[in-house]
Amino acid sequence: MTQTLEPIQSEDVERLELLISLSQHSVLVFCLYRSPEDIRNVQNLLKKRLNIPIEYQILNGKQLNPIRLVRDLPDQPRQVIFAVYEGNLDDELTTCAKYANIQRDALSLVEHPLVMWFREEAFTRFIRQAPDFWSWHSAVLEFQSPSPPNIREAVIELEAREPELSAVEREKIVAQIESYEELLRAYTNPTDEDLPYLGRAYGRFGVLLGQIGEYKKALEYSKKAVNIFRKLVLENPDAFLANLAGSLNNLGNRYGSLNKLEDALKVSQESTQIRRKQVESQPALYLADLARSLNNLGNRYSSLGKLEDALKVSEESVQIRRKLSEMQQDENLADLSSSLNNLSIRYSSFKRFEEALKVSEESTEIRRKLVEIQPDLYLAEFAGSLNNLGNRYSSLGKLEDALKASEEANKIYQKLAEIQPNAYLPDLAMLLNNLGIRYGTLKRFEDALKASEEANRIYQKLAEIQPNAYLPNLSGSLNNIGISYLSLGKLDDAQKALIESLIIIKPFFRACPTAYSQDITERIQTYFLLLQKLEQQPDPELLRGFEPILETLNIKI
Amino acid sequence: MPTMTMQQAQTLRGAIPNLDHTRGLEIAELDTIYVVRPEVQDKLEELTIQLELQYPCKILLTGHRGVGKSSALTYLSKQLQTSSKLWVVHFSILDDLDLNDLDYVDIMVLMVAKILEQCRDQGLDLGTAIQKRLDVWSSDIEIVRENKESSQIAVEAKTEVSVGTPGWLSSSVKAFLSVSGRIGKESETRKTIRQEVTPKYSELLGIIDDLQQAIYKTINRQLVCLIDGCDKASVEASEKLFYKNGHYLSIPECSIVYTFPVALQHSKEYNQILPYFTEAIPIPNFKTQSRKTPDPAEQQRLRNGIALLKEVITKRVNPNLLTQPALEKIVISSGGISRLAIKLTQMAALKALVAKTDKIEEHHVDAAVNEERKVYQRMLTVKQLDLLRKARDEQRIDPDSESGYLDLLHNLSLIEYDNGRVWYAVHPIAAPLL
Repeated sequence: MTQTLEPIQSEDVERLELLISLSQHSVLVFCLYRSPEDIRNVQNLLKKRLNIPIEYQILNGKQLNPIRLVRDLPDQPRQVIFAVYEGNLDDELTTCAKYANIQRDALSLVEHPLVMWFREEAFTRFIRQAPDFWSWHSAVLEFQSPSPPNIREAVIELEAREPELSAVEREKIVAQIESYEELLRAYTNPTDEDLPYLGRAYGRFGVLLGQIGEYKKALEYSKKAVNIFRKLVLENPDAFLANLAGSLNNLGNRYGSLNKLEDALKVSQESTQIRRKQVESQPALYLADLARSLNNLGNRYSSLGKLEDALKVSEESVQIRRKLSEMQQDENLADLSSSLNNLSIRYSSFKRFEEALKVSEESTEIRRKLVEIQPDLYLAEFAGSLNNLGNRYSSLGKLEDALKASEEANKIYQKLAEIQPNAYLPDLAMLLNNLGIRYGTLKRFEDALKASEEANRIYQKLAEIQPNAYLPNLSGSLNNIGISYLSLGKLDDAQKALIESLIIIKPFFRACPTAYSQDITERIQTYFLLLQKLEQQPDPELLRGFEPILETLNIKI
Repeated sequence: MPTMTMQQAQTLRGAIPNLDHTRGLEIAELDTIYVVRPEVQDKLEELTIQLELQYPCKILLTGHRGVGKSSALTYLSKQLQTSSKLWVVHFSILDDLDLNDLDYVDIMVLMVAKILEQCRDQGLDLGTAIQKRLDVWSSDIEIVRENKESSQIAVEAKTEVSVGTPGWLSSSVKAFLSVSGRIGKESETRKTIRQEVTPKYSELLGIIDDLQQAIYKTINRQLVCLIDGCDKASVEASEKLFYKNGHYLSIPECSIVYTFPVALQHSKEYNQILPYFTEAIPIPNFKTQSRKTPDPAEQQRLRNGIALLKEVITKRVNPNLLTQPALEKIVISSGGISRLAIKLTQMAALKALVAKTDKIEEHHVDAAVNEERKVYQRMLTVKQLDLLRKARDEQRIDPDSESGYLDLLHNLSLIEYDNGRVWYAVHPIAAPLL
């Protein structure tokens, strides 16, 4: 398909033709292009006007000396050389500029016109590095086709809008997602220079999709971002390692959302490893990023039941962020609260409840203050901290405090889930689940059952869409329902719920025993308690597959 | 490549080849095309006298890129050819050396080769003493010795052509000429030549001394070498050549004029370079702008500068092909750099041709200037724009090579003027970007 040139570009073709045909010596002309189509259009028009053949040559890693293209030709016949620069923007461009700059005088010894084609960014860099060669040009002609978006400008503009986005303003997030979608749809032919921007666009698109609960699509784009930065790192590690680490970190979160725990751990580890190396050389620049990766890595270890590892990296993350927040308090408090929140969960896993409560309280207090300043931005995080604080109080037997915290969190999550169901229903379900436990410990079994059933309903919906991610939670909510029924003396309902809970969780336990063994141990104990009350024997078929836990509990069937 | 002698263009189409700003002037074009500026002519005449009286001397010819250093050197070469006291060897290192990888040894070996070639071409009989000296010296260079075998075969094959060759041009010398011609093209040859010649540089100096004596004995004239192209290397390469090895360029026993990069002239190293050389002669820009409100004398200098630069254009293009405002704008926009004035005229002429008019008008020049300004806009970094603002306000620069000003002088966004006192101005095309 041949595009029609704009009128001004047709004039430029005429100028090029006049310059070449009227000059008796070599002529140097720079032409700017966007796609190879632009060059072909000019070449076709020029062919009709000129009697001189046009030779098309590529300047890349194999041949970077533009002067050689004309110098090594025989004097006759006179030929126009279209030298199209397709090398990279770094060492190859430097080499090309060096050759051009130094050997430019050779152009006066030949008759062949040299037309050098560059994309915008490459041209700018080239003339900066070859000012002497540049001074030899007779014209700079712009033949870039106008249609495609400038991905660099578009990405920078979209990124500039992001700090204004709050997690609860779904409409704004969706609008931002649509802007990215539009940009990525229109952008089909990336140049090498545009790849970093495309990678950034994919990465942010993935994060935003994650925020509205579009986890599968988010994963797809996060993977694309990682692939681009992996490629760029091979060419220029110094420039793109930070991007790769960031995109791996995000990919870890995406896998985590889909419960692909092993994959999540793998990429989180890689991200952390890269950032550790970067911190060694430039601590001031990368310490905050390392803390972020460590925080997420802690979650990944924890999900897989690798609690020692999880605790270790969470502590390190808190340590770094505490240091950073001491230096620049405002900028790092939110991050510190996040790491503290996770550390409280880690301590709790080791039954270090006092320490867990202390850091949980600190996290909640920080977020309470942040919410006062920017409610939209920190409300969800604050609710998360309250939820955990409730768990921590509960572990220490401070049941009223626990309930108070969980109820406050419930109010917030209800509101958030109403605005953004995709993003906040999972959190609400989790909170309801915990709230049920709070009520249960206070012997308010009816309230407990109600909360657990509400959680169960949400998890059922979520599990229909993403079974891998939500079936374990659904199993958990059924277990809680079972306990509530048991406490209320409704033993048959309890049995039904507990059996269903064990059936659902069994394949997950088989796939990753360490991640689920603690929870399942408790569920099996509850099941045997129920059987005792029902004076029934265990169902061997139901318990098949849980042998390691039964062995720990010293139960033989 | 044969070059047609330029005649004043009478049509816009004919103007395009005449406005090829990359082409240096031929000696034959000096009378018709070259504009002799009084201040340059005075300097070159003084230099001619100096070269005749103060033998041997080493001169640096400096000035902005495109200001006419090569043309001035060609003019000087023509002037010196009329001298009864001097014998001129004029060459450019660009034709034979690799500026990516340049060393003082390369330049000196090339200079010996060019002297020998000119002696051969003019049939000078340098005598048997120099033949023996050259034979011993060239045979002492291993790569020449190796090359001699194939060279001998080539000579045998061209026996008829070789008739009339001067007696001193032995097979060893021929082999040396063959090898020296490859210095620029073959990195291995270059490396080997340097390895062999550098430790015996004093012998090369001895050869140059013997040659100049032999020439003087033969034709009673002193040897003067005019070496063009030394200003074309990058700032780093020039530093290596003139700053680190300036001493080696200054000791041969003959007079030499080197072109010298303007950026290095403004560097802090310049004061250490200068003592190696007899004098540095700047070729100034055409005076087209003034530092402050000009007094009557300054106004006159300005008028003269503008008139002379207009003449550079109108010697190439019939003045009827441009309106006066167009010509005025070209000259002012060029910042006094003649090559740029020629280029802007060509760009405007192309615009006029596309518009199917037969005269360059002011708006054609405006369009050309805008195009050129866009390139400056792309080329200049934010930091460089800040430096230019500073230079504009202070009219002076920091000569430290780290300061970034040298790059600005090198890319012509900053230009130097000299009217009794040196001052700096942002190039008129780049100025609106600040």
